[in-house]
Amino acid sequence: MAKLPKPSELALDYTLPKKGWMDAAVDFRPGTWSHAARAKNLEAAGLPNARQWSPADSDWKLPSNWKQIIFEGMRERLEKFRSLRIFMDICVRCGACADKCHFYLGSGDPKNMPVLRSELLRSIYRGEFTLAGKIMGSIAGARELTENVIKEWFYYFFQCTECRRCSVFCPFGIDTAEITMIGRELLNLLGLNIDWIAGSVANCRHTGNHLGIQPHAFKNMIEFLADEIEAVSGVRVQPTFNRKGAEILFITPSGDAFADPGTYTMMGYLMLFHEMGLDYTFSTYASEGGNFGMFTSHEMMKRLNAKMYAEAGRLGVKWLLGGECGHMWRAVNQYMDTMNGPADFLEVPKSPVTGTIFDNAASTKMVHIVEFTADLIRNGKLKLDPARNDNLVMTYHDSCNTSRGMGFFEEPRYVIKSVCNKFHEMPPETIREQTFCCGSGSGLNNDEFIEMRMRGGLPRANAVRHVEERHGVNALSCICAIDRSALTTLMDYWVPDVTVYGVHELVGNALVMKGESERTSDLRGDPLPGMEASEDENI
Amino acid sequence: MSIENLLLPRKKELLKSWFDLFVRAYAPEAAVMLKGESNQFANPVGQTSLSAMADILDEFLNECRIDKILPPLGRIIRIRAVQDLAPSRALAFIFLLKGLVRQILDGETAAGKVSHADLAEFDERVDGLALAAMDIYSKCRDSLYEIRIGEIKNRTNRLLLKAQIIAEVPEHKSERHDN
Repeated sequence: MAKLPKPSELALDYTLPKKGWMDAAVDFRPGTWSHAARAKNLEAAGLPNARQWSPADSDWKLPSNWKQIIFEGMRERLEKFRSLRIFMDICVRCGACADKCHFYLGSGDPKNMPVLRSELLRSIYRGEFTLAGKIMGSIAGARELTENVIKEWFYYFFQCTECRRCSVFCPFGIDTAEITMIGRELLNLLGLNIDWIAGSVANCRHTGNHLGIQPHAFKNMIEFLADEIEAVSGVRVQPTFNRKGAEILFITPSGDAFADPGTYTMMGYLMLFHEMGLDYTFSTYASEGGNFGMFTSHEMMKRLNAKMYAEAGRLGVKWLLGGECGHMWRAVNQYMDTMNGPADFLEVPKSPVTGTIFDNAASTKMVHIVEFTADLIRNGKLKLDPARNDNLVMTYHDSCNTSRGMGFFEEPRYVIKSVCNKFHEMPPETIREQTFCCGSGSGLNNDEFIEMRMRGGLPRANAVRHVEERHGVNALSCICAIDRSALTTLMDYWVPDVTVYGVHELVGNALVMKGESERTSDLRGDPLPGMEASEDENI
Repeated sequence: MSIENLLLPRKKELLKSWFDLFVRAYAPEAAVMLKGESNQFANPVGQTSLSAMADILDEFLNECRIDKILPPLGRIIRIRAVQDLAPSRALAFIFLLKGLVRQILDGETAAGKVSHADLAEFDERVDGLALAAMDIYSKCRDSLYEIRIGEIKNRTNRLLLKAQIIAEVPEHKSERHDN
């Protein structure tokens, strides 16, 4: 019988298996993996091998010909995507990416090093698709495909948020996120997905958004927020739904409609659109900016992206305006043109307020709201009172997808500085193209994964804590719905005195609207700076 | 002369040895990074842990005031509480101070400058530090579950309100509710 361990044994005995990485099996400990996709969600999304299973089970109920499915899947993708073959061949394992991953920095698990995470797939590629690997085996970095390898893929490809920070540092420009994407795509051929993603995909296809909010509920929710706006500002905004012939179709993540603090960001959008007299409409079917298809397969990403454009066509709008979202923008900017684009049936977006033509969206016909608002401010179209945000000492988190996926750095900062007087940047190695992920992106923002999310979010939280200690920062802004939710949780654990805001919530606070009553509270119902006393009087 | 007085001039040596042992809980590749990278943003776990351990020792070898020890101890335990470590492994590094001190003061002990009573007293302080760490660890794990619940509430509360499944008492008696 084993003896009671001594502290020195516990502290010094490195716990991960001492076997070589190729042979070490994964230990599925709760908190580090997400629940398996439920059969009904896989079926609804048209994904194969729908069944009841759990990653903690020893038998994953793989189809009998699973190996053949994987090899054929790899072969097809290696032929279809030249980039994949290059990414498989070109890595020299220089290690430049190794210490750039937030999950590696937070966990110390070597298989979270991007180079090693990619090797999980690359080793199988070498063994099956290269002569050297076939002949020399492990000497050439090849290994045999076993069920344990599949389990390892599931564990680590769903422990990567596809943030692409590692690819910024790769001298060959290998996009490690795309390796994860292909890894997940292969896993999906065997029915191996997580339910947080598969459920969102199924609901999005079937009902129109991740939670499956039905049209009447979606409309009611937005109108409920209009009531809230009226209570704060005295102004009644009049959003419309499924209105044919509107100039603009507005699409934002559904989290903005129902999840705090995204709802306050939605209030900001509604106030801005009302003030500008924008001719826009919501769609209750394209009621989701998020595209969890991107975390499943490129076909699924294409399908979910297509429904936004199908709705634009059905409603006969001229162009699309998109809300504060992360991966929706990466799908639109990086992938859409070769999937569903160009959207020639729409017009090149032109701001009806300033006349600015958004040439950058000439192909996709979709403009980011922060870009749209920055243009309004630049042209002096908004009356703003930034002092209303004077209780906030602000910093800004560059969302991975808008920064690395579309090079969107200045516009959000320009808007924030126009509506907030107090702003401090986090250290340069943690923002802009080097930004640290929230730790919950790419469909990993589920609650059972919380421990891993806190680990992965540590580098981001560490930089926030730095500006909190140095400059008294108490507010963190961002332009991504997953960030708004995930960073709130992250701050609760690591830097509890910092509150998370969407940029358009700040715009809504600062926006001086025609006919508004004297504002005493912000969009959250908290007293505005200097109004604390009058709030007390009301009570 | 007390153990603390003997250790104070050798604090750097003690810190280095303690940190060297601390990183051995991690994979060899990670240990190299945790020890080698001095940028606190490129190496948040290593640098936060090192500076916290330095602050803990500063106070531990001086007045040992609890309000000065808890903040740095919290910084390090908060990280350990979400890493892939059982609670016993997460906190074991604290007990290593006992062996380290014996190693460092080997000569002095042999020379009779350090008594058994001195060592026993020092060990007791280390135990106190470990017990405080246990409290922090437990609080961190509790907060993890609390924020998990909070997140679920944030995601669905408005829907429940809107669906009139829940109807909370309004916070302010403002006109909007009378209209």
